[in-house]
Amino acid sequence: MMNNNIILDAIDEVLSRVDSMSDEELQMKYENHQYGPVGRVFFEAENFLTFLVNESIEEYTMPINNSSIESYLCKTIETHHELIGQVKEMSVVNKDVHQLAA
Amino acid sequence: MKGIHGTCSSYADSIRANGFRYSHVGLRGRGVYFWGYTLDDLEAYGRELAIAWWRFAKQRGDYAKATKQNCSVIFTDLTVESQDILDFEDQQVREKFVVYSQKVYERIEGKSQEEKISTIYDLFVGEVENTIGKTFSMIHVKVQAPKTYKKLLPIDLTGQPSCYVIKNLASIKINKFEVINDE
Repeated sequence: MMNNNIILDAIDEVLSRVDSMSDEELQMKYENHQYGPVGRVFFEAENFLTFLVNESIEEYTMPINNSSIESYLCKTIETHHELIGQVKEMSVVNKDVHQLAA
Repeated sequence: MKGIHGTCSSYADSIRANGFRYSHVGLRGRGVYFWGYTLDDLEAYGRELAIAWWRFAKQRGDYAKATKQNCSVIFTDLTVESQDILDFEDQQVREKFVVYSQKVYERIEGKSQEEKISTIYDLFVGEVENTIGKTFSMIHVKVQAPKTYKKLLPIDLTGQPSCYVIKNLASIKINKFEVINDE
């Protein structure tokens, strides 16, 4: 078994975090786990954020739906024949993706 | 470690062809569920539990759409390093998990109690993993034997059976399949 003290210390940290979490945050965490991270997407690469601001994204908008989003989240994004980063999931709500892609 | 899995023969055929699939359903969180033991002498005990689970699942209607609904038992070796196991039967881990559950259970709304319990396990494991910076390949947890279990020995002697929830499918090596036709 992993050094038990490491696990127990980690659990103590988890318990502290739960204490400081609002009910809304906790519920969102629960729903994201239960129903997937459909909705909000955090774009990790700064270059991609710049791209979004400066370029039309219409032709690069990914078809997002409940079944496909998790596979997309794991893929490297290629545009203008360059790899510009990877998307990463975060806790979110659907409308944010809609707003981002609109 | 050894793990025994009971299911219907249609699903067993699929497992034989494609290996185990990661299940998102389970009262102790996501993973593949086995009745677990370490001593070969306890194989019959695990086998009977696997058959009991199949009886329970069949009664529940889990195999209603399967073409072959009779029981198959799958015997496996589970190769997991001890540091990759989160043991809920360690008393301190269990007690802290109970505290975690106290802190979250009433604050979240889910479709059902089962869904909440399953998700609380997953959230807890995930939070611990994030904190430590590693993932667990398996969790060990004691569960109640299915009501359909035909006891080989009284529970007062055996205690509740061990359940291994495998989260890393590469840990599973299938040794043999047994088809049970007399159930």
